[in-house]
Amino acid sequence: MFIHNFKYSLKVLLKNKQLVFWTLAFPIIMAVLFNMAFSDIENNEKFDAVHIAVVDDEDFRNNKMFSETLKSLSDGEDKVFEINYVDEEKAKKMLEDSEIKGYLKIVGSEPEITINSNGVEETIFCHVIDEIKSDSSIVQDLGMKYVMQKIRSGEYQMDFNQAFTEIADEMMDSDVSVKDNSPDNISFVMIEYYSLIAMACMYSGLLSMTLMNYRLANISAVGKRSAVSPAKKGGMIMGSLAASFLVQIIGLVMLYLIMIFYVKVDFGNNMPMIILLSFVGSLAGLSLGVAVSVLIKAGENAKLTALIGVVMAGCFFAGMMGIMMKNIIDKNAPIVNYINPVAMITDGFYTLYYYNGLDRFYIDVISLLIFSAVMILISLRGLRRQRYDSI
Amino acid sequence: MTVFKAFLKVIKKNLGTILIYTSIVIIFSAVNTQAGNQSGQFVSEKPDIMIINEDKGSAVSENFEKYLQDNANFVDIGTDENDIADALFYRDISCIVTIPKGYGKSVLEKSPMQPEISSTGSYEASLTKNMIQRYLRVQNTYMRTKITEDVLISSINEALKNDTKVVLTTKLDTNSLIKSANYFNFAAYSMMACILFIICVVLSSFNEISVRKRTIVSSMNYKKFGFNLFLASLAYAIVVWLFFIGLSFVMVGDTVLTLRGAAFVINSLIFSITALSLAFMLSTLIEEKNALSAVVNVITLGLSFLCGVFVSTNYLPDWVVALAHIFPTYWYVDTNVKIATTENLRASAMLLVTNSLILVAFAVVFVMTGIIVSGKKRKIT
Amino acid sequence: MYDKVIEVKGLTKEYKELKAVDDLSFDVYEKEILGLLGPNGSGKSTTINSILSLLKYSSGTINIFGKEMKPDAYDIKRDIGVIFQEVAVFQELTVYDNIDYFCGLYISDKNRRKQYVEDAIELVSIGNYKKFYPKQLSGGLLRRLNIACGIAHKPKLIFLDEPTVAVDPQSRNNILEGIRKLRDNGATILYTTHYMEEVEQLCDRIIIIDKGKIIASGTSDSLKKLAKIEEKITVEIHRLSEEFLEKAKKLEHATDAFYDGKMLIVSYNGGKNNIANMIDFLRQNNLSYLKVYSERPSLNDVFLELTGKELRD
Repeated sequence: MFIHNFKYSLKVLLKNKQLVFWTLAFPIIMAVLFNMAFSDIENNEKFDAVHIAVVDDEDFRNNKMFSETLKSLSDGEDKVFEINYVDEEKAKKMLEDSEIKGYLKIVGSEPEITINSNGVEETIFCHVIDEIKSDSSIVQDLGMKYVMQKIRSGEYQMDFNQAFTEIADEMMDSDVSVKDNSPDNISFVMIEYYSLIAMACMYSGLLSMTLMNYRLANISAVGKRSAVSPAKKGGMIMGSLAASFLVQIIGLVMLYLIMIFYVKVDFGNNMPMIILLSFVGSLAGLSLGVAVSVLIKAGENAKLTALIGVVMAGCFFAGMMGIMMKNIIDKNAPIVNYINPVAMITDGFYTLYYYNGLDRFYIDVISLLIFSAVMILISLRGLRRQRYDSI
Repeated sequence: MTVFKAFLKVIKKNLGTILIYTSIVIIFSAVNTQAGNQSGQFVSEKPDIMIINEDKGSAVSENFEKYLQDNANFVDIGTDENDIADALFYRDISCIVTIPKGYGKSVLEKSPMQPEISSTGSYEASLTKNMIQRYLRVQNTYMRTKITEDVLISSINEALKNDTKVVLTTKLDTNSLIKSANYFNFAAYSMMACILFIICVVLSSFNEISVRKRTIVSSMNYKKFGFNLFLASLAYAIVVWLFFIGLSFVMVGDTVLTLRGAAFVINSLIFSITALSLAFMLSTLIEEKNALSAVVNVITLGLSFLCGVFVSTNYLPDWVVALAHIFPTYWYVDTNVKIATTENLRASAMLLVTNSLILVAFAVVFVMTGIIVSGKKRKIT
Repeated sequence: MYDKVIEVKGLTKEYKELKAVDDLSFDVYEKEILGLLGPNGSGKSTTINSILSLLKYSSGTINIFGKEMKPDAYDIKRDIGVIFQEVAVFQELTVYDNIDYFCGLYISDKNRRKQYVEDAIELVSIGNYKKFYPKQLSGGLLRRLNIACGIAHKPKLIFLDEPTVAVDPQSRNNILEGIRKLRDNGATILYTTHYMEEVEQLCDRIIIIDKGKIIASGTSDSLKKLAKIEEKITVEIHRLSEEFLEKAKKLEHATDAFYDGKMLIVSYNGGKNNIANMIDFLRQNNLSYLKVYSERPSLNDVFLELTGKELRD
């Protein structure tokens, strides 16, 4: 009986175009779209040269400290600035047209910066100019002290220029390195892909829901027909769930293949745990589908909409429509995500990718198991009922 | 009247779907407005960082910490390691700077230890790193001269005084304008979904062969029937548009009543008409009713991802942006961004009008295609 | 062998305020076709669903094949076939697969099942549509598929709940033919419908229920005797004044007369020369008529008389 039901359940699932689309094709289409949309986002996050202008007048050309430092900063591979040397009129125009972030003008010996608004690039611009200014004041300060010292010790003959250059060089050479402890796996776009897998897991609910609708006498005529047959309900339900699970696993494997080989998503390297999470996540999806089928009294389309709606809302809170959302919920209302299976699956992948330990991962898995158990338990009465009050 | 009634019926039947799309845009806008810079479009001038000073009590270390606190936004995450790690991953902070124990002493002994930084590699993080390196250079330069701790600290602070004159020219409230642009951009997803889904369902039920036969032979003039259908669809699209305009008063009310706000509103009206004509074309092309929700979902999500609704076009790969030019959503989003960021709205008026004309051209092409396709189908049956 | 295939005693089913079935008792005997007749909402489907243990009922006992019917009475269920009002098939499976699936719930032996499925396909004549999907089938074919799914396992007892709703005459004849064949092959059939002529053609015995109660039972002929009228004479006549209509009502043995602008219909409760008397009456009054004919009352008349003529939902 199990095999008979399993075989025909498979046929039903694979023939239902709506189901095939939502559970097999839709996640893959989304993965490809994500890849198009996000492939550059973190490269852009990295530093690009800031476009600025410099008012190229007498004062600027005379100020060696500024003209030479800026020249060196706009040179080479990892240059800080892209500089246009123009007159003041032109610089103003360029700023208005948003061609540059701001421009520098030297008035006397003091730098003056003009910018449109406060953004990161503007801030970098200001910082670098500040730095050149403070560096030159240090050189002045230390240089003067050095000169005073020499004079006090009676030495009047010295090469001022050389003394200043030495101080400047010494300053530039000083070791300012910082120990970099940055984590390797910091790509937060991964959350998008993780939430996508979570979505695919939860969409397995569509499979189990469709089959369960065919199993329950109070929901469909086919259900009535099954109910009056001598086939045992348990066997039929298990056959259906097994078929749903198999189709789900096929879908997930396809999704993983696309993600690993085409999108190049990084899942960390704990393969057994990734498989465990996929299984537990699919289990949560299947049991949600069973619960929706048994508990929601409505037509098949309404149920479909309800299930897709619930999963999409879950995806939203798990960060699929904006990665920050998950963090905001995690910080302010963690309970929402503890009962949101999409967030738990996403968090499980995140933990495998970003954390070293597995404690948090196990919490995610356990809360998914609890979710599944609760869904099954609240559906159990409806599943076991043989006689109905009304049909 | 029957046409309008059928419309209402379909809407009633699909109310759940409409509610989902609408609530997504409401929640997104709410989060976007509250969370401010979370969208990544606008970042405050100071980087958000976390400082862990393990060398409390040393004047040198505390001066370093104070410098960082003055020049960056210190975000207090607490002491839980997981919370700190999460904050870094989700860009609540761009980096964590750790001043190791014994750092102050090591500086005074002229062999400074290295401070530690754990960063996301972002703009803000490089800015922080630059700031640290600048401080270290000043500190290490003075450190080598023979001076006391007090003099060292005062010399550092003197040298780091930032007194470059900065002139700010903008009169734009960029922050709230970008929020509004984000709202209207995101509304493109929900408006399109609501319009495409319902209108496709309605039109394709009217197109179904049995119904089409009946309308062709019925006493109702085919032209009049088509016109009624058009009126009903238009009315629905306008209602959807009005809803999102109404919502905009709640979400970003402060800018809607300005000249730029009016520009956003007009742009969204044109866009909803374009979406309507796209719906008309799709309804003539899609044969299978069950395929509707699939096609509509793929189109709305696809356009939203590729045209800068979910991810700003700044962050999209160049080839995707180039590809996006062939979709109407791109021009709609582009107009919104221009409205929000251009310094002089009147001077850019031509650009905005051009974008709108392109949207209208899309609408015309969709309608023409729809008419040709449905004309061919009518002859067959 | 058991004589009574189904024994229903004191079956009562109450929804909140409404008694859908009220103390219903009846038996179904082996190899008969029993027609369960009643207007919409009279409790026919509720009765069948209760017998099948799909519904909880308030009181009463139900025995099938001499044993108590319960949800887990699998040995009883094995010999039952049910055709519901709604078409109960998988949209995603072909005609053949649908029949094979449902047959498989009863019969696990593959070779036997294959034969049975072919037999069922032949019975309802859908051999040309084996590879079709339900949505490609017309209404009549769909109903025939629905029947094939219910009887493929060759049950001894078959429930048919309005299997011919919305079916074209060709398909209906095919279906009724099939039902007769099933009975000839030895099955007992409980048949519900509100098409009178089907019942007249098909059923050995009829039970008429209304508002959850049996209001009449017996063979078609014995039921017809229940009618107060024995003969109905119809006259096609173009003009008839009130005066003559009143006169017609007073004819010998006439109980009622009725004129709708074209037809004069007079009911009689007895008498042997009614048609001759009618022709005399017409001639005497110089009424020109086109046609006169006499009819025995139909089951339909009985049904309407017993259940009342007001519209049911």
